[in-house]
Order: sequence, then C-alpha cells, then structure tokens
Amino acid sequence: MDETPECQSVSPLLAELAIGAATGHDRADAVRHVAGCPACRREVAELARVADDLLLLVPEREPPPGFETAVAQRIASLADPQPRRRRSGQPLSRLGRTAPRPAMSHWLPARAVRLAAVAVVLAIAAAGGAAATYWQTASDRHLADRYRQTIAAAGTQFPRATPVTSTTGAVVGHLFLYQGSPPWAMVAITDAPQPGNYTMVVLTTSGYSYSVGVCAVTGRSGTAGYPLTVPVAQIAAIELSRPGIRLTAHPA
Amino acid sequence: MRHDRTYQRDPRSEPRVWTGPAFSSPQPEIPGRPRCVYPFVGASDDGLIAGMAAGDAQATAAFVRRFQARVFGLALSIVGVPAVAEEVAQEAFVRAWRFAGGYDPRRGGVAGWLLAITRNAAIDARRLLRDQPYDPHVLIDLVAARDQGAHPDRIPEIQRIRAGLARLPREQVVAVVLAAVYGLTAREIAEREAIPIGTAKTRIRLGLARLRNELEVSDGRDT
Repeated sequence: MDETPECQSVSPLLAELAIGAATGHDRADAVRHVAGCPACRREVAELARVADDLLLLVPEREPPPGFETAVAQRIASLADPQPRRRRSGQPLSRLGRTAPRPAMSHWLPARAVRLAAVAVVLAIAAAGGAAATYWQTASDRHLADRYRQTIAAAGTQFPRATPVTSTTGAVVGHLFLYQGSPPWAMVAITDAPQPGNYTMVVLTTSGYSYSVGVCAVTGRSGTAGYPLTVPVAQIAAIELSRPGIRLTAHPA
Repeated sequence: MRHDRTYQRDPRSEPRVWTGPAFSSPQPEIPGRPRCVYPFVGASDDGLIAGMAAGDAQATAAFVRRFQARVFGLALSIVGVPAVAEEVAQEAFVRAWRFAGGYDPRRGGVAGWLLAITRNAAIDARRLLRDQPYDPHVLIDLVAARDQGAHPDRIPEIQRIRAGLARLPREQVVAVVLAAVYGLTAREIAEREAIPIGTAKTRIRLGLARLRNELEVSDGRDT
C-alpha cells in the first residue's frame, strides 16, 4: 500500500476503527481520512472481515420455543404497518401510509422543509470549513449531487426536519432524517454554544442507543451526516454532546 | 450513554412446546412415504438472503431457522441474560430483513454479516443494563476450546480461525476478543485489564494484524 504521510499517521488507528474500538478524536480523524483514501478504506475493510470472523467462534445456543414465530410476527408487522388515518377515516395523505409526516409542519410548510434540506446539502458541498466527516466518502459536491438526486427520485419522501435545542430550549440547529435505503441522519448546527467535537448518539423507541459518529463544530457551526441502522420512525431522539453540553432533537 | 428505560420482555402466552417444523435439514427417503420438502432447505446462504430481500416469507423463515442458534448464542454471550438475548436476537433478524437488500457478498459471508448485526444489537442492549454479570474471559476460554456443537460443515472454518487465534499471545487474544465480540473500546479494555490505554491500543492493533496474517497464510493468500 502506497502510504502518504497522512496514511502513516492514521495507520495505527485503522485496526481500532475496523474493530469498533476507536472513539473520540482518534475515531473522527481516522474516519475522515478513510473516507477519502481508497487504500486505507480497503485496509479497514480487510481488518473488519477478520474481526467479524471471530464472531463465528462464539458457541451456538438454540433460542427458546416460539422464537421463529416471534421473529415472523415482528417482520410481518413491519412489512405491512397499519396506515395512519384521520378521525374521519381518511388517510393523512393521498400517498398512503408511506408518506412521512414532516416534523416541522407546525411552523414551516413541507416544501420549505424540503428546500431547507437541499440548501443544507448544497452548503455542505460548497463550504470548506464545516467538518462533515462521513460526507467525505466522495467529494462533497458529488455526494451532495447524489443526495439531491435521491431526494428527487424519492418524490414526496422529503427529509424530516427537527430543531436541535440546547438544555435551555434555544434552537441551535436542525436535524434532517431521510427514510431512504439506507436511512440517513444529517445535522446542521448553526448556533452552537461551544466549538469542538460533539458525539452524535441515536436513541431508539425500543430503548437502544448507539453512537453514529462525531459532528465537528468550528466557531458556532458544523454539519455531519451518517447512515442509520434503524428506520427513521424508530428514532426517539438524537443527542449531540460534549463535556458539559447536550443538544437534543426529538423527531415527532 | 445510558437510557432510563428498563429493557422489558413481553410475557409469552403460547405453551412452551416446539411449534415449528420438526426438522430443518433434508430428510432421508423413506419407501412408501412422501418426502416432505421444505422450500429453501438446501438453498445457499446467499440464496436465502436474496429471497428475504425479495420479500419471500419462506426464505425469511428458512433464514431464521438456519442462523437462529448462532445469533442467539452470540447475543447471550454478550448480554448474559437469556430473556434480553432473545429480544436482541429477534431484533438482529429484523435488522437483517430490513437491510437484506444491501448485503454485498464481496464483503464477506452471510454468517459474518448477520453476526455483526447481532453483535451491534447486543452491545446496544448491554449499554442499557446497569449490571454486567457476564465475564468476557469465559467467552475467551470458550473460543479457545473445542467445537461447541457447530454444524459439521462449519467446523473446518471454525478450526481454521481458532488455530489462527491460538497463535497470538494471550494478551492480544483478550484485547481483540473484548473489542471484536463485546464491542469494548480501547479505553474500556485498558480499564478492565488495568493497563495503559496505549498498551490496549497496541494489543488491538498487533493482535488483529497478526490474526489477519495467520488467516491469510492458512487460506493460501499472499500477505
């Protein structure tokens, strides 16, 4: 592998990143580099495969009776959810159950929400200062183009937008959730109380929580976008935190 | 990150008897008796994934039957509580169903993909538990032991991986297993093993690199 000086600097972190043991600045630095370095990305992928092989050694245990049925029932309920209806019995939207309800509709028209999301994406593509780590998988402009095309192809499945607030209730930015394949979360902080790296954690309606990455704030603003491992509808909240500060968004 | 919700398991109303298929593998021919054929019984792992991604309920059921022991075993090893492990295992299959369309065979086998999903779901659940009754070193010892009831077809691969792991120094095995299986960070490993965090990072890095070399050599690939 032809190593650049940055590759050599990040190389000791690749194993931690591949195995999921990297955190904080180390993880952010490694993710940022790997996003733009095919060679290091291959290295991480190979190491991750080795790490995943260890899972094959764990002893097997038969689950309790009824397990298969329980799984089938859960999948069936997700495959055919009940449509949401008004009290009159009519669907909320002529598009049926798949049309998401925008979280900001109480104070912004749906079209404005969609345009705001696109504007944020374009801002990411154009800006040089915001540290959107995962968005550097390709060039920012290319990724932004793909995102706009995805939005256009999805028709009315525009991103859901939610204000991000501090503990005092002040709005410091917005969270955009998009139910695509995969689902995405993008946060745009515009009035952060403090610069620095904010750890971004997803809290699900089932009570799980997991860290998706870091949003690096420079000055008062920062953006970050990450794919999600759960559907948008199962997200109870997304928190961004650093010592002494917690910012929260609660999708409706 | 802690969450205040207690992880609850729904009470079961069905009787504790096996209500699923009596078998999940091809049955021998019995003269005079019609052979009972379950679709997808002999399908490849990739075939089951494809069927599941296409929304085929039978493929999904076959997929669950084929991997449920491994998924539940991993979930139980990580969370240590059977009821929670059952919920985690269910969640893992739901996630697999949801993301079956995104599975890429070039990145590795179906089992590894599914078990990685299971591990992540189990780690999420474990973070909600205030107590950690399990001892990861028990798993480490089990990893080093003989086969734990694995299907005969999988034994050669398991033995190959275990042999590679056995060539690592014990401290590197501990670090790699704690990170790869239990999802501990370098800092958590350092605290648990009472070592400097730099030492934990080094053990992870060297252990994983050496394990890759061992597996590539045994697989006949160039390092």
